[in-house]
Amino acid sequence: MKRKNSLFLTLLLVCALLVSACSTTANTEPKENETNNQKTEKEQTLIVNANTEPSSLDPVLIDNQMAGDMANQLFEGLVRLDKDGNIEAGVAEKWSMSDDGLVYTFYLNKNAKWSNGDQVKAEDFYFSWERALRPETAAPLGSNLFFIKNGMQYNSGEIKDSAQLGMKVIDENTFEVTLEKPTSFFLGLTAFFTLLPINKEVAESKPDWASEGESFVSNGPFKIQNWKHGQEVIMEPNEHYWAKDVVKLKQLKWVMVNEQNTDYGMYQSNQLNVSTNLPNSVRSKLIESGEALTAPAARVVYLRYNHKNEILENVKIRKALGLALNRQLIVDKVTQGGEIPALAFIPPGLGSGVGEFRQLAGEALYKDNDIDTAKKLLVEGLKELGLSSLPKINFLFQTNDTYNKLSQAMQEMWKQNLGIEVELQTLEGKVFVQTVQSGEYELAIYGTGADYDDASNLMGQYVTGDVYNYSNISIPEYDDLVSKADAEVDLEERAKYMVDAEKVLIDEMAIAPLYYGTQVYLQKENVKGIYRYVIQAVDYREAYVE
Amino acid sequence: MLQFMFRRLIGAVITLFFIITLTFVLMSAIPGDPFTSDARVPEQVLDNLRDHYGLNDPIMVQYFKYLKGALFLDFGPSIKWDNQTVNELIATGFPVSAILGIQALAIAIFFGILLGIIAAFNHNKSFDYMAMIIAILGLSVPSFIFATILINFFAIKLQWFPVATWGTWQHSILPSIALAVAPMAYIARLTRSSILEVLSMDYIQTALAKGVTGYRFIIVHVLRNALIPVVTILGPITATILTGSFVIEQIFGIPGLGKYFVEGISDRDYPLILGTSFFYSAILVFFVILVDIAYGVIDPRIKLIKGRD
Repeated sequence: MKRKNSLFLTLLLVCALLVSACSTTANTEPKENETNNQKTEKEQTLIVNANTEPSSLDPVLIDNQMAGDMANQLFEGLVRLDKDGNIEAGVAEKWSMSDDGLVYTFYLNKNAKWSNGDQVKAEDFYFSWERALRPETAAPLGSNLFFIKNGMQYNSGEIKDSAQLGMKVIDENTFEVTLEKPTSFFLGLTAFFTLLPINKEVAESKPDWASEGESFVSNGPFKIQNWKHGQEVIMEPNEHYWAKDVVKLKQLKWVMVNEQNTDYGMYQSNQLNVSTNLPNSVRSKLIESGEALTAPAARVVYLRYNHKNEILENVKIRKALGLALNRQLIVDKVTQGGEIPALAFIPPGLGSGVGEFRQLAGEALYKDNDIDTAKKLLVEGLKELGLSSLPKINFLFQTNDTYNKLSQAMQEMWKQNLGIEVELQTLEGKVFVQTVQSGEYELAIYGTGADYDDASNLMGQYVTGDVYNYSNISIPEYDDLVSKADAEVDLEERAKYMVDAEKVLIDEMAIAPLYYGTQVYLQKENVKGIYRYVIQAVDYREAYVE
Repeated sequence: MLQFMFRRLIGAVITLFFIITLTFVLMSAIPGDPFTSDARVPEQVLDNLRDHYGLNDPIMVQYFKYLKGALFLDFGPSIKWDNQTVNELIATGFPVSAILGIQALAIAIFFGILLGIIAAFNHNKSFDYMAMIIAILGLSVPSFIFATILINFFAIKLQWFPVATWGTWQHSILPSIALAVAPMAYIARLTRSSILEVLSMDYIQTALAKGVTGYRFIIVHVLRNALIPVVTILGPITATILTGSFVIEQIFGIPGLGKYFVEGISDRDYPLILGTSFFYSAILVFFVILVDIAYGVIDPRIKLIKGRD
């Protein structure tokens, strides 16, 4: 009897597992046929990939581009960008700037509504921006509001009284902003995701409104229909949106698949209409065949030197290392993502206040793959240092596919062109950042990108003593030019200072730019009307399927 | 039995305490914190963020906070996923991982035992070799390669199943198979060798001599004894499936817990790391106890408490 029981139990265990498996599958069955439907019903549904669950969709708490891309469909700022990147009316139907460039007055569109039907008021903007600056909010990109008068002091807690902030609600539809100093790019910045408004009433009555789809209230072209955490966000047109006529999509669905090969597989089998996360293995092939497209990304990848190092302190050694690299070869054979060889620092597409910065400053500040000069400089540099040959240098980079290959290519180029040995060392993302920040490195690969459309955004980090100056760069002439540009009210003059500052930085080879980044994406031919910008988040407002 | 359970429960609590402590120590030892990034975030903003999540507290204060959290099963808000608490993440992620895991386990057990039986009863014949080649392939080919092959063939070429994401039963088929392959191979090999061993026993020879044959012979005389080792490895196999599910979840874009478990570490999301480690450890400890109990039930030779009976 006992023995029979034990056999019975064994079988029961196996059966129970089988049955439970079957029952779970059976439960979900009725919902199906979605994939087939999607194929036949081309009814203005666009499926895109958010890669992961957004860390937040509350604009102020967003810290990454992808979540910013999502929020940009849900919310609308004071202004927005048209398809050519020019500023056009958003929630503000018109605006004016005082003659000294300090005070902006925004007149809000009375038809601008929240998805719950409320009107978008000046109060909402005041509330959202004040909240973004409040220290307790801990807004990761809150520094984008430091251009507002006393914004920085309010954020640090130096000023406690919000009335001292340069913001004023004149009436329900009029919002006035006073800046710290004239800021040519401020208007465009009001379209950036950190500055998007939230509904004051909703936020005050239900503090966790932004964590679930049901309670989510937004004022942009789309609203959230369903948000399954970690799985998908389904957006549908906001029927209260003031320009709802230009919205053609019936559904904008964001799936969350973080694996590049799977992403590409979904694109191939029409389960994704747009893909921005291509596997390295097919990227160059797809760019070559014209299937994948590239767009500039206002990002530059460069070689960091630790200027505290006694060898790298020498400008000739830095130049020799920087000039002996074949950047064209790097972008053609190594990175293969349609990148552009960087022969200067500020990436193309970034503004200067008086037109695009690169057009003012010229494309190339040095020659690519200038081995002869590099060799000469190396000999001179070694002489200055009193060395016969260069000791082995440590070369640090963050573990990822591209940088693994890039660092090996650079190692080889230095060895071939200059006979220099460098030792490669790779570190996990945050460990790498921390190591560089603490200055325990000699050479490192680094990338930097702009948050707002102005070259000044990238220049501050190489000023002596700046907290981001992990390279310990100290060039008095550069510091002087950057601070002059900072203080200059005249835009032409300011741009000149910035152009000169970049020249000084590159002449000293304080860093060695490698390439300008690009966005690479696949988009089905029948998908039209998606607007991509150098800095601003992507815009699906006018997208449609043909 | 009750005494056994009680002892194991005390043991489990001590184990979990050590796991939490060790996790906390290791976690604090990794360089970087949740807000380390190469973005240009001003120091005061970082300080606000650290304050907000209590990371500026002395390390012992943080430790006791987490202990308290574990005691009341409340791990607080996730740092990376702003609007969600760790409990919510576990509550939404685990059922998905569990469905995937149970399906994979069912496939692994069913086909593993089947393959093992086929192989053992065709010892040194072509069926045996075929089954064992499948088993060796299953063990040696990593699950992510297997998953990619499944996607390419069944989802992209034949379009029988969706490539990825989650929601319907079709979505769960390919990932379950991919996840099941390695444990299935393991079970198959174990079943085979264990049956072969049982077949050489005297009582089997006796039964055969008495003329017992057919399914009754296989099930009653052979399998019951041969499956004991298989049951004992179910605990570790559940562990393999749970921890192995991260890769599969990643490839198939499945909103399971494995993703949070692993990404929590690269994000340095301290509450999430502690919450998921605690949760997984608790499950594993539970399974090990369960297997111990099942072991005693199946095999009467094993006593749960020494010196009794």
